[in-house]
Amino acid sequence: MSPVLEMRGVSKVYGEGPAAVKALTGVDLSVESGTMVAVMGPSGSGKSTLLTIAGSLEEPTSGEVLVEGTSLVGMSRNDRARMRRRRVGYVFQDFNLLAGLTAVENITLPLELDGMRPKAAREAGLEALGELDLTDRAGHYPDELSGGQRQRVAIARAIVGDRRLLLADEPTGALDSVSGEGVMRLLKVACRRGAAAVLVTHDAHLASWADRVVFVRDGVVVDQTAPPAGPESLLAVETEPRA
Amino acid sequence: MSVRHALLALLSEGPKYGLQLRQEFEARTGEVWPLNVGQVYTTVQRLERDGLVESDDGEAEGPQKTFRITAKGGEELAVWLRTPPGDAPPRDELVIKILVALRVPGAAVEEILQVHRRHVVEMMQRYTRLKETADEDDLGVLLVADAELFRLHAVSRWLDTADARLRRLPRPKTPPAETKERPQATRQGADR
Amino acid sequence: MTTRTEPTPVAGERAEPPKRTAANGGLVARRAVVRWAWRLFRREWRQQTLVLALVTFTVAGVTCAVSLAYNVASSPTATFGSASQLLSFDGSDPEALRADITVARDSIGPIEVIEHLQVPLPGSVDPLDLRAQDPQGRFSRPMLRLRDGRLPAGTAEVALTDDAAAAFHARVGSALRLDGRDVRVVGLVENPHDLNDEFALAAPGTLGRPTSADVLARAGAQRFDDYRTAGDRPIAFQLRNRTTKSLAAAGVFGVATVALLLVSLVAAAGFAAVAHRRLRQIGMLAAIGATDRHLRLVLIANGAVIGVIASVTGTALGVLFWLVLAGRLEEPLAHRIDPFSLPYPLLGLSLLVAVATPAAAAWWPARAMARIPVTAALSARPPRPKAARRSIPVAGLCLAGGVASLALADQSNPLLIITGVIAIGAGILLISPPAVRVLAWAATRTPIAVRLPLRDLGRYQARAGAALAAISLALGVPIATVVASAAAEYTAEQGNLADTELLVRVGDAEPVAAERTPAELDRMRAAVDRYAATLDRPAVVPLDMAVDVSARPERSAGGGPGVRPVVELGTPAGNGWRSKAVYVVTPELARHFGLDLPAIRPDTDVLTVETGRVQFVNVAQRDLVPRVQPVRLPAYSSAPTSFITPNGMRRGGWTPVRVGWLIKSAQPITGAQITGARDMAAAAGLTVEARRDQSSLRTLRTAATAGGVVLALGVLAMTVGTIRGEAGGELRTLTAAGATSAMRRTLTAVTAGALATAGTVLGAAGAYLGLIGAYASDLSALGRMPLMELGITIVGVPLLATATGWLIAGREPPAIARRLLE
Repeated sequence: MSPVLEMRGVSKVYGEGPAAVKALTGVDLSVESGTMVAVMGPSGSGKSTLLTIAGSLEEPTSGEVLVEGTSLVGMSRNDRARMRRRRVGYVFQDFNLLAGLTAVENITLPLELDGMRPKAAREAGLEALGELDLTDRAGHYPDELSGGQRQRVAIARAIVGDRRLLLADEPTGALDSVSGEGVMRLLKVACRRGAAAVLVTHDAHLASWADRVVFVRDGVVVDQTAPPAGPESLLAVETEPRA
Repeated sequence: MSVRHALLALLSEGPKYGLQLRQEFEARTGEVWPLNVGQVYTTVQRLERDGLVESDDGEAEGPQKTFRITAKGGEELAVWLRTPPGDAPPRDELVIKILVALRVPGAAVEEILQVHRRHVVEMMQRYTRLKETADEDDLGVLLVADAELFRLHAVSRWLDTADARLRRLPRPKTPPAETKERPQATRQGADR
Repeated sequence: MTTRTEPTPVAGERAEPPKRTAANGGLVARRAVVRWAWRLFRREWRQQTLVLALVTFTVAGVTCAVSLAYNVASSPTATFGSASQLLSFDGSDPEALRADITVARDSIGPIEVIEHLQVPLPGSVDPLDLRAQDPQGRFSRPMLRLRDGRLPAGTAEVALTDDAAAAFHARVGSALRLDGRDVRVVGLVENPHDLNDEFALAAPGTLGRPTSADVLARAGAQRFDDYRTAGDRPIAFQLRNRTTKSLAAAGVFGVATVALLLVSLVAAAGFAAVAHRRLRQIGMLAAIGATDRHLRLVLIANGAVIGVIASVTGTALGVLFWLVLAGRLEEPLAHRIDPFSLPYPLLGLSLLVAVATPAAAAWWPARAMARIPVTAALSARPPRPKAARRSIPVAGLCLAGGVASLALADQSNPLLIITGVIAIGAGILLISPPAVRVLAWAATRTPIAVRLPLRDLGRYQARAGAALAAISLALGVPIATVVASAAAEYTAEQGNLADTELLVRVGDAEPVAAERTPAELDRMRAAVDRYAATLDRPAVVPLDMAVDVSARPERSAGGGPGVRPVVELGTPAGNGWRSKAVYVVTPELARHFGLDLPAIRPDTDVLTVETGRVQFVNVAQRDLVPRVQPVRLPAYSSAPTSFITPNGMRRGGWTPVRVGWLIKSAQPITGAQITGARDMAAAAGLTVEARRDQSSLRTLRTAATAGGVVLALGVLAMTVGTIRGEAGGELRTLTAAGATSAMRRTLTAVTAGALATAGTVLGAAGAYLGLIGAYASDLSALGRMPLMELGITIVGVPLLATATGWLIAGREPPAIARRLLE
C-alpha cells in the first residue's frame, strides 16, 4: 500500500544570501494509511514548516512531496487549493473555526467550497457531529463552544468527506489534559478508519499518542522511536528497579 | 510503602479474604503493580500486629481468613491519604548519568539526551496505548497510566530543558560534522 | 479489560465521491463564501461604520443633489407654458395688433393670446403687469395657479400675486384702484414656475387697450420659420429652450460619481484595515482549500454588502432630506417644486453606482490579501506595508496638477475642472497618511496623555489616514463652496442693487431732477431716516446729480413741479449710446464708497467703473470730453458706479441737485421691509428701487457650512470611536496603572482634536488650492472671505470635536465579557 504522504529529501530555505535561514534540510518522511506519526522537536526546529509543506500551504525549496501518489511540486495554486479541499485536513492549535459560521457550517465549508450541494453537505456535517456527540451544538457559533468542543469540530471538519491526510499542529494546545485526551482519541479513531495523520508537537505527552515519533532538530530528522510495544510489555518493565 | 495503605483502603470497603485482597489490589492498580500472595500476607500480618486490622480469631488460617479494618486502622488511612508523599531522592540516576557525561571528554551529551528522550517517549507510548485500550470507566488503570505518563513527561521536560541549556553554551568540543552524521545513521537504523 | 467498540468505517460513504460541479466549487462555493462574508459583516459591522457611514452620506448627498439639480433649474414653462414659441407684439396701435394676431393665428395657429397692460405701482420704480390670461388657456394653463379666492370675471375683478397684493396692502375682497379703474381683488394667484413673476390677473379680453400682447404657439419649426420670414417687419419672438433639467441633473450626477470614487478610495483604506483584522480567518479559509478567487470574494462581497446597505439607507435619507428641503427651496428658487418629480432613471443609476463602488473599492485590498502567503496569514503576520514615502511626491504632483488643470480650465472646460477636482481630492487623500505620521512624530516630546493618542493615530495609520482624508474632504468641499460663493457674489454682482441696498429717488427714476424746496427735501430726508431706523445698522447716503441750472425747467408730465434734465454718462451700445446715472462726489459719498479723494488727479472729471469710452449725455457742451479715472466698485446697474469730481462740475459749470438717498443695511432687506419702504416712499412723494431678484447665495453658504460641519463631526465621531475602542485594552491597563478619568478624557479629546485640526487644515488648504486654480485669472476675487462661515468651520470644528471628546470619554472602560473570536 502506497503511503498517503511521502516526503523525499524536502528542504526549505527562507530568504536569500547571508540572511537565508534553513528551516528544513533533506527530510524524508512517509506516512501510511492508518498510522499517526508525531513530529517532535523544540520550537524553531522546523517541525511546523514540515507540516505546512506537507499540506501544500508552502512549497519546498527542493525535494518532492506526494499526497496519495500525486506530486505537489509544480502544482498550480488552484490545484493545490483543490488538493486541500479534497485530500488534506488541518487542525491547528487554537484557531480553527471561522467565526460567523456555526459548528455544522464550519464542517461543511470544505465540502461546499468543492461544490457539494448545501443539503448533502449539511447531512454529512450533521453526521460527523453526531459521531462526536455534538449534534446539539450544530447551530452554535464557535464562541459559544468550549475549547474542547471547538477542537472536536475542527477534527470533524478535517476528516469530513473523502480526506485521508490529517495534519495537526499542537491540536490540544490550550486544552486541559482530559479534553486534550478526548481530541487525541478522535484523531486515533480517524487513523484507524484509514486516514494518515501527522502530528506536530513539542510535548512528549502528546507525541506518545502516535504510532511513530520522529524527532526533528534544526530542520533535520535526528531520531525516531522503535515500533511500539503493546501494553503487555509494561509488566516486564515493572520488573526493573524503580527509583 | 503504600501497599500497606492500599490494603487498608480495600478493607475499609468491608471485610475481605486474603486472596480477595490480592485480586482486588491488582484490579485497582491496572495490573501494572503485581504482588505475590506472600507479600499480601506479610503486609496484613504487620497491620494486624500494629492493631490496624483484625481477623476472625484463630479460625482457618490461609486464604479463608477474613480481615476487617479497625478504628485505628481507619484513622491511619485517613491520615495517610492526606500526608504528602516524601520528596523524591535527589540522586536521580538519569541526572547523575548526564552529569557524568558532561565530565567525560568527547561524550556526545546531546546524543545521550536524545537516546534517553527516545526511551522516555517509547515508554510513554506504551502507557498511552494502555490508556487507549482501557475502558473509560476503568479508573484505576487510567489513573496509574496517567501517573506514570506525567512522571515520564516530567523526565522528558527535564531532558528538553537540559538540551536547551546545553545549546546555550558554546560547544567547542563537538565538531559540526558530527551532528550531521549521527542522525543519518540513527534514522537508517530505526527505519522499518 | 474491555476494548472500545470501534466505530465501523463508513466505507460506502468513501467509495461514492460527492457530486461536484465546477472545478473550483462553482456557484455553491461562492455562495458559501458570500454567506460567510455576510455573517462576518453582521458580527463586525461596528468596525465598518466609518466606511458604511461615509458611503451612506455620500449616497444621501448624491440623491439630494441630483434631485436638487433636477428641480433647481428654472423651467421655460414659466414663460412658455406648454407652448414652443412666444411672440411679443407692441400694443401701441390696437389695429396693427389685431392684424398681427390674426396673421399669427392663420399661419401658426392654434395660438393663445395673453394681453399685458403696464400699470404704475405706488411708490415703486417698477410698474405692475396687469395681464389678461385665460386660466384654461391652451398653452398657458401651467403658468397660473389659484392660491386663494377665485379667478376674476368681468372688468371689475382682478387677482393678484402675493407681492403685488402686499404692495397694495390688499387681500381677497379688497378694493383698489388700478390704472384709473376701481377693481375688486377676488383671488390670489401665482405663476408656479416663477414665483418672482409678479402680476395682476384680469379676465381675458377685459383690458381694452393693452400695452403689449404675447402670443403662444406650438407650430412646427418649418411652419414657424415660414411665418416668421413671410412678414414685412421683424417679429419679436423667443423659442423654448430644450429642457435643461435633466442636463443639470446629469452634470451633478457626474460630479457625484467623482465624489463616490473619492469616497471609494477612503473606503479602500478601510477595507484594507478589515482585511488586516481578518487575516487569520482568511488564512484558515485558504488552508481549508479556498482558491484565491474565493478569498477575494470575501472582501468584495463585504464591499457589496456595504454598498447595498449604504445605497438603500442613503437614498432613503437623501429622499427624506429632499422632501424636507423641497418645501423650503420654493421661495429661494422662486418656483413651486413637486417633490416627487425626480429623475428616477438617474437615481436608479446612482443606486447602482453606489452598490458597485464599495465593491470595486474592496477589490484592491482583496487582491493584496489573497496574495499573502497562507502561513503568514495564519499567524496574522502580514508582510510589512510598503512605506508610504513615495506618496508625498505623488501627492504634491496631484495637487500641483489639480491646480494647473483648474487654472487651465478657466472655469469653463468641464473636463479639466473635473480632472482638477479629482486630482486635488486624490492629493488630499495621499497626503493624509504622511500627515498622520507627522502628528505622531510631533508628539514625541509631549506629555504621555498627548503622546499616546497621537502615536496610536500613527499606529493605525491606514485607518487614521483614511479618516483624516474623509474629514478633510468633508470640510474642504463646504469651505470651497463657501469661499467660491462669496467670490461669485463679488465677481458676478449682477442685478440692479445689492440685496442690502435700497435706492430712494425724489420723484420718478427719470433722468430729470425735480425742483424741490429745501423744506420739502428736509421732510423727505426725515421720512427716509425714520424708515432707515427700522433697519439693521443703517447708513443713509445722500445722492446728488449734476444739472445745468442755466437750462429752463420743463413742466413735468403729471403737472407737478418743474424738472431739469440731469447730466448722465453715456457708454457706447450698438450704434448709439446707453446712458447711466452719474452722481456728484461729496465727502459723504466718498466715505461710503471708499473713494480716496486726495489720491484723485486734479484734472480728473469722472470716476467710473466703466472701462470703455464714455461721454456726457444731456449736456449743452457737445465738445466736453470727460477725463476719466477708473475705480473698482460692485457693478450693479442702479447703484452709483460713476461720479463727477469737483473738477468735472467746474468744467461743465453744473450745480449739484439732491436726487435721492442710498440706504444700506447690514442685513439683506426683506420683502416686508421693501413693502415698508414703498409705503414710506408713496407717502413722501418718493420712489424706491430694491434688488429685483431676491435670491442670495447666503442660504447656500449656510447649508454648505452646516452640512460640512455635521459630516466632518460624524466622520470624526466614528473614527475616534473606532480607534479609541481598539485601544480599549490599553485604556484598561492605564486605568489599572492609576490613570484618572481626566487622563482618559484627555486621550479621547486629543485624538478628536488632532484629527479635526489636521482635517480642517488639510481641507482648507485643499479648498484654497482648488480655488487658487479656479480663480487664477483674478485672485482678488478670493479676497472677500465669508469670515463667519469660515470661522465656524476652521475654529469651531476642532473646538467642538475636542470638547465632545472630553465630555464623553470620562466613564470607566467597560470590561469586555466575551472576547470576540478572531
